[in-house]
Amino acid sequence: MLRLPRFDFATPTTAAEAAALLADPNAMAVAGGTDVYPKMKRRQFVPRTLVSLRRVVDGNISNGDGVRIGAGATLTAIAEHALLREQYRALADAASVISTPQLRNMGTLGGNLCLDTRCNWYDQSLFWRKAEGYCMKTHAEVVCRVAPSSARCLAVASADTVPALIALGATATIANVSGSRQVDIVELYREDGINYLGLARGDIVTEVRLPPARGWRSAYLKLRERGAFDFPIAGVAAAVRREGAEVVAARVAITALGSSPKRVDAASEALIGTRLEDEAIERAAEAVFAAARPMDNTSGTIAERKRAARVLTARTLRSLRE
Amino acid sequence: MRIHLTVNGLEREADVWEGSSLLTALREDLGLPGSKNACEQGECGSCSVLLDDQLLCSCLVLAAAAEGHRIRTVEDLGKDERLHPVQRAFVDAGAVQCGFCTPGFIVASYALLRDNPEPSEAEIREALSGNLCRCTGYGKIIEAVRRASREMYR
Amino acid sequence: MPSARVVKNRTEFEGKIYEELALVQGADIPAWSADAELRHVGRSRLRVDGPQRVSGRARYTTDLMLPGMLHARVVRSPHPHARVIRVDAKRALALAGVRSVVDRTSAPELFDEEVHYVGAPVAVVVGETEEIAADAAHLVEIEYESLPFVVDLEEAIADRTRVQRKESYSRGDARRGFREADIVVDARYTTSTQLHNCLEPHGAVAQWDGERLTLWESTQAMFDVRKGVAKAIRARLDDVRVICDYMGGGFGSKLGHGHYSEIAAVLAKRLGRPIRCVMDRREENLVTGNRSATVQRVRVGATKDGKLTALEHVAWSGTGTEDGWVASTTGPSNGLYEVANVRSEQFLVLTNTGPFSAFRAPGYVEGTFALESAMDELADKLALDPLALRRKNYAKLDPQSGKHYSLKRLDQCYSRGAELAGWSRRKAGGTAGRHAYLRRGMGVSTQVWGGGGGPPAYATIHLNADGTAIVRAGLQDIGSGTKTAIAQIAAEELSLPLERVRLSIGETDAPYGPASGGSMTTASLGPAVRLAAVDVRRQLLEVAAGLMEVRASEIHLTDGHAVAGRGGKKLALDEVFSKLQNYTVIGRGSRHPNPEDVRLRSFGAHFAEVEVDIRTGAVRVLKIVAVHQIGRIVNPLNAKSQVEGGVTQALGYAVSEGRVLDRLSGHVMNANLEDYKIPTVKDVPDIVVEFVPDLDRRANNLGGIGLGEPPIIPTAAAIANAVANACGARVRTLPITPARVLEALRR
Repeated sequence: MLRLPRFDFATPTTAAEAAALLADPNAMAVAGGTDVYPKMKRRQFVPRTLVSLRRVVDGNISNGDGVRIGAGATLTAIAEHALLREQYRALADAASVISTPQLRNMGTLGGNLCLDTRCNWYDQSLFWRKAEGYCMKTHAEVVCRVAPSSARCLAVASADTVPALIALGATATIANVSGSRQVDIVELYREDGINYLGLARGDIVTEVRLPPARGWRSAYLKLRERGAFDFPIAGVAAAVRREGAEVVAARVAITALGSSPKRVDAASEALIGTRLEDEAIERAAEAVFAAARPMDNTSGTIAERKRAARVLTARTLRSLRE
Repeated sequence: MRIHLTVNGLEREADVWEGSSLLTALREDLGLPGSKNACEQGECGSCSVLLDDQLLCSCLVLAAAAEGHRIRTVEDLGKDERLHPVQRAFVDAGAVQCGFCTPGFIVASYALLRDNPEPSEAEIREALSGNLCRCTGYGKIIEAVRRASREMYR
Repeated sequence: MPSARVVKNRTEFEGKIYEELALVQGADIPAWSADAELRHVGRSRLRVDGPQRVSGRARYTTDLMLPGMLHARVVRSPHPHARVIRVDAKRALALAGVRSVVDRTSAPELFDEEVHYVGAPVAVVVGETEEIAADAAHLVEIEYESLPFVVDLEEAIADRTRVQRKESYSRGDARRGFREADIVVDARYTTSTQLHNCLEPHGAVAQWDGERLTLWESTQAMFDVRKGVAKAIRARLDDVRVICDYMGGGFGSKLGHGHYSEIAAVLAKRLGRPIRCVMDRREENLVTGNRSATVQRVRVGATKDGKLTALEHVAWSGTGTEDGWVASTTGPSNGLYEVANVRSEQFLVLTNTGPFSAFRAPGYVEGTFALESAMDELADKLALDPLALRRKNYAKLDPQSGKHYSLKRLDQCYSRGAELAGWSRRKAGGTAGRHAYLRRGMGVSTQVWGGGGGPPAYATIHLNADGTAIVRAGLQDIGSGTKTAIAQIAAEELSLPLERVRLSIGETDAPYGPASGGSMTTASLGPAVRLAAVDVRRQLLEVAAGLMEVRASEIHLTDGHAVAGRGGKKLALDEVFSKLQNYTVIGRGSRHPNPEDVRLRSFGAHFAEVEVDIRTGAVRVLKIVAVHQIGRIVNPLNAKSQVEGGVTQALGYAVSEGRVLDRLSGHVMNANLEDYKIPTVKDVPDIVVEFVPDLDRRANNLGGIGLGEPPIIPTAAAIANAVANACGARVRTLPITPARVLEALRR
């Protein structure tokens, strides 16, 4: 049986209140809980206070100059939203391939943005980790079990919406006690399995903003073992803006191929000025292949994941050809 | 703490630790063991219930978070001896073997047909993709959903 | 009264032949003929307890909540091999709500000094709630002395102290046979450990009433649980009552009692309160049994025309810490094809991992993968159609005993399956898919299995004065539909509507019934039930004869009436019943022995169609065609369900399931449902199922044998063969992962 450890459950109503509570190093934020609770059950996290963001962030999706999505929007709401499906396809598709219907109904965009990095040596029961002597991600004095000589934690970025948001040029609004700021989503992440989010204690993601979609088409492809439940072995998002047949702007982003999601600018460069011909796509795929730095500490071998990076990039881009 | 929630149409109360799961509260405190605890991690769907009409895994819902909400479990779908068309369809299609996954599938199928009365096969598979079955191979379950759809929306 | 006598009987169970004595009564009757007009048997009657399961009313062992019940959580070894030096329960006992902590010092009968796998039980904590017990379990401090261990199968095979030859078989002269061959395929195959992951965990709830123990357990074998627990706690059989009303899957892992049964029984006695000891998902993956991983070598030789001249099969199966038995992986090689020269050996290999158990067709699943892959590789080398190669070596008589089969229609399984699969579309080298990087292919594989059941199995039927019948049998329903089949058989013989037949099953205070496994339940109990019904009918006819004033021999029962052959006198059975008042007619039946002069086996063929992405190695199974022959099918709907379920488990075994171990620490890396990948509804292809309609009139008085296991046997090989056909990648290791496909493509 898997039960949660004891904790205090706080339900603040404002971002300021929540941020103040989250200033405590023994506090953790929770929205849908689909990542936090399983990990707490395995004692990967044992916060003294859980701060529910339910009443702090909203789940509205509204369009004006671009689209604004409250961080509390469920993944189902995003996957099924007509405007997102039509104009911000990569995001809707990414949300729709996360986990299962049940967990998409519970999980939020904010939660996916802040999804913990994953590793076979970390996502294990307490019994297992205690027997193995833990690892760097939970115990600073212990080495990384994947690569003992690694200076940093090698846990893998595993959120599907993130590369889609990066490819769509999205920004996130971060609020804390002193106010709020807007950040390019790609800037949120660090190539470090432990400090993978560039957020300060007390920061809360309140919303995501997507720029106007005029002329842009996007797609997201995910490789996973089964047709549901599984985290990405590799995930690639691409967005292109064309004038006529010519690509005038492009963004390609990847996940599960390192400890952080990445935007592959070399891939964009390979596409701009082209008409998405096979050779251009191949060059872009090659650039992604080079940028991918997967480990074999979640699913798939290193070779398999590198290969998937190239294949998924080619397929994603081909799908944008029409 | 004492939580108050509407369960299967009735106002109910339970004395639970706020961090216990809705699943535990249903099974151990509210006398509703129909929802099952096969994994308690959201990895199998056998604990599926409806919370405010949304399909989710009750093993990952805090009892405290369920306070004030409307819960429906598999036990709510039939009335006394009469089975809901979804339940009847599962029986008629031969979609039940050991039955341990069945409550979760019944609730998920019910939710699907409520939102999408005539789903395609792909839509059925997607809607049930969060429910694991080890016995039936799923074929009869898909047939059961189709059968229920015909029954309910002829 | 029918006479009782003891007879010899041969039963094939889980791949092994058992020769035992059995107590039977009366005489058997012939099976229904092919043209018999049956009202219930052979029809897709609805599962009798379906409504309970779909409404959430069915109570499983894990649902049980008894007043005053305490919860037990087992403290388990984090070491793959260690000696337990000291157990310190101080901190655990100090936690509020903890009632007891028991270890070897206070219960030497429950815990050993040396533990041999990660997860082995070392102590148990009992608490007022499961949560308290679980928290306290983490507070128990244990000092271990680590000992050397091996978890990797290949590593263990190299260590002679861990390897035992358990079976060897030969006929003819294999050496000469290989010399006579024009082509020889010599290949090594490996398969991974498969974990049952039944949805309902293993567990038991025990409650004492004086010296009488009632044990609720999720089990496939109530009587074996009773026997095992009674022995363990030194109680009399009649002082132990095992109850299993509904259970959520077993697949072979619940064929005997568990350590949790003993814990529950012993602690319930000591503490004077009911004890619940139920496994969680992690424990399910660690300690409740598994299908052995194997390393196998198959050498097969044939002349240019495809006639096999020799077959050699050596199998090493990792049994974990179980050293009593090993599954017969070489069974298919020994008994499927007509080949004069065969040699096989089965080794048991000990590893410091959870003990293996039966898992749906143990041994034959692993062995068929190797044999049928090798046959395909041979066909490839001979440039012969794989199906033609199978047909060329078709055994009309059982190669092991020389006997005729009670029924063999494998040739029809091949033909019908080929037709349904579109086998004529298959091309050597595969065919193109929608894109240049997609290749399609088809593969075939053969299934052979035992599963004819046998004695002992008993049933009584009580016919009430209102014309309702109760079948009493020591049966536990594991969900495969035996309950419904039994009801159909009884209703058929009694000429009653199905709704008037109820089953009183699910506990051991009933006539002895067999385990629900080994594909033998319906085939063992069904014939006994039929005879009990015949006994009831005989008595009923005598009553009717008295009322109608004719001789009993002149009456037959039909459609709820007693009809006299001459004069056409008719009497409604309801009228007969109303005359019975409080009288109950009781009929008894026992399962008679299997015929000695024929071999009882089931056969089948699976055809798989796949699409391989040669850039990523991903395999998509498009379609599986499964044609099986078991003789008479009591309930076609349930039978189809069994096949679909078995094929799906085989699919998982073939492409996504496999226990992953860390060699250095001995730990299981994927002891949960997220990382141990069982197929979801989105992963299952179109499964087309058909049965050869011919009856097996020699097997038993039903005319059919078991279907529980055959469907899981051949699929993995069919898929591997399809992959090889599609793109030339011959993957000899299960599961067939994209990395392995890519590696095979490079070869």
